[in-house]
Amino acid sequence: MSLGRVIRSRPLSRFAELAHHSERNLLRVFLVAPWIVSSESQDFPPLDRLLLSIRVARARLTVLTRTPLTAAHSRAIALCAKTPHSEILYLDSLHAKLYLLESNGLRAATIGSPNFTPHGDRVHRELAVEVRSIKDSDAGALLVEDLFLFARELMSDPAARFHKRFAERVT
Amino acid sequence: MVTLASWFFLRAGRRSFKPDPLRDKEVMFCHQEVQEDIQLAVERAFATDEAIKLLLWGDWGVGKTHTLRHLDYWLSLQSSEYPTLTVFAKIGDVAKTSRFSVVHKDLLDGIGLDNAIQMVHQYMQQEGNLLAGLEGIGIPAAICQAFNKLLVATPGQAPPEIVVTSWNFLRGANVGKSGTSLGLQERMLDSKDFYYTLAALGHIVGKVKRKQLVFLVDEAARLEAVGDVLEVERHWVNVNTLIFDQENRFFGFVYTVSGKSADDIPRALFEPQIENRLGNRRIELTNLPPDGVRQFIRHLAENFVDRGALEADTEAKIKANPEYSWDTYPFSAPAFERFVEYFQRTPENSKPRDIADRLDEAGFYAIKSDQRLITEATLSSLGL
Repeated sequence: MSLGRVIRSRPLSRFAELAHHSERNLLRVFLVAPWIVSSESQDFPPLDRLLLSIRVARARLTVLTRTPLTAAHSRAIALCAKTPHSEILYLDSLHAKLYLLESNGLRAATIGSPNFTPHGDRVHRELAVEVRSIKDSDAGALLVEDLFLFARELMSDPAARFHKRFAERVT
Repeated sequence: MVTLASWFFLRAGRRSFKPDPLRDKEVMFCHQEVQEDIQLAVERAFATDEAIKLLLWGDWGVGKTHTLRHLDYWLSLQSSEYPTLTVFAKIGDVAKTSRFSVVHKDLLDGIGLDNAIQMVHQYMQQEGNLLAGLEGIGIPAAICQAFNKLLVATPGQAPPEIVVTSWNFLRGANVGKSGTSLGLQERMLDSKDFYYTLAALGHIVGKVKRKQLVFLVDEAARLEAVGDVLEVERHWVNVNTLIFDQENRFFGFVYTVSGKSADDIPRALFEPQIENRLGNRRIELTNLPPDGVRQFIRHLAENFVDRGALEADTEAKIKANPEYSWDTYPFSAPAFERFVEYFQRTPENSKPRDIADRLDEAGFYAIKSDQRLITEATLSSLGL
């Protein structure tokens, strides 16, 4: 079995779908992308679906993005901030795109070029690779675990600053 | 770039406070009492000349895989007292129609064709006729024949086609007409045949190596998928019943199963006939009690942190920090107690995986606050 597979269509919708299927056991989700957009003004449901799954599962959400400069980006971050058990950090030099989830029984990563936007999902010609593992310590599991750590290392950059910590509540 | 490893002086190669079941198999960070129960079961099996048979179950993240890896390691240390040959396998994707062959193949691959050829030749030298030996313990003719055909190969040399076909048949693969031309079937389907193949291997290993063959099989929760098709479920129940039956003195078998309660154990493993056979060899791994949480964190720090480097570092000046104590590192003393208390308040979260996750998160928050210790303020900002 290969370590990962190229996702040729709607990688972000697929990631949200994966979270939905793991909903009963979802533990944590990391969204790392310079641009994140919700569906309020456009037909782009993945973020809303993802946040719903996170709420239902009472999972933890970690978001690393650039400081929002557009209304759509700000709205998406506001939605993320309203999600209980969420933390949000801004890093303006961020270029990586990394979507990670862990549930009881599954670790998954989608890595590649798409931002978490409608264009990233279905308009631009993007590259996205999905890694999944249902095991504790095979190559896939170790890679996803390493990506979680890498994301934390990006957040450890002195230039990365908290917009919201886990303990803070936004209504 | 600042990392958990550099900030908290983790030993070379460590990236976080999370243990890896394979890499850290030598250390039991928690569940010492479970390990004692398992070791007692091993002692009892050898004392009564039985095979080791266990079912370890508990919630996800509670440490079953680590416990299984540690059992593997412990058995390797006890080779003079409890001589075993262990084969570790994980159950992968299981479909509704998957039969035991999805595990069986990995079990035989864990031994390997080269080893099997070596062993059947040694058997002939030490014990005489292989065919008679296998028939003598009740192995069906087709399986005896398949093992006997391995003798056509010369140990250490590339095996001829007939040997590869026979081995693939024993692995449960579909060998098509080349199987029937050798007097075998196209593929093994009967639940008993899988069991008898493992029994034959266990017998050969026992005679040749004077060791008990023990299969360690992780993630049997995947078997819940087979519960949807009655015929397939019966197949699994039959194989597992034979494996755990007291008549099976040929090979040991340890399964791990994930589930929040006993009801989550797949029916392929939870039939009354299997339960009766397992008796008190079904061992539950539970979430950690407060002392277990304390002990777990201490074991992580003692095994993962380079205390010498930490205390000698002139930039961190940890020894000059009045809140520092090695006994509670990487926490200040009050934060350590508060962290333990959090898991006491939310026992549903007090699993080694979740504790290690939270410890990593707290470490990251300490880095962001430029604190060399995880303090109460750090935990507050995490919501703990």
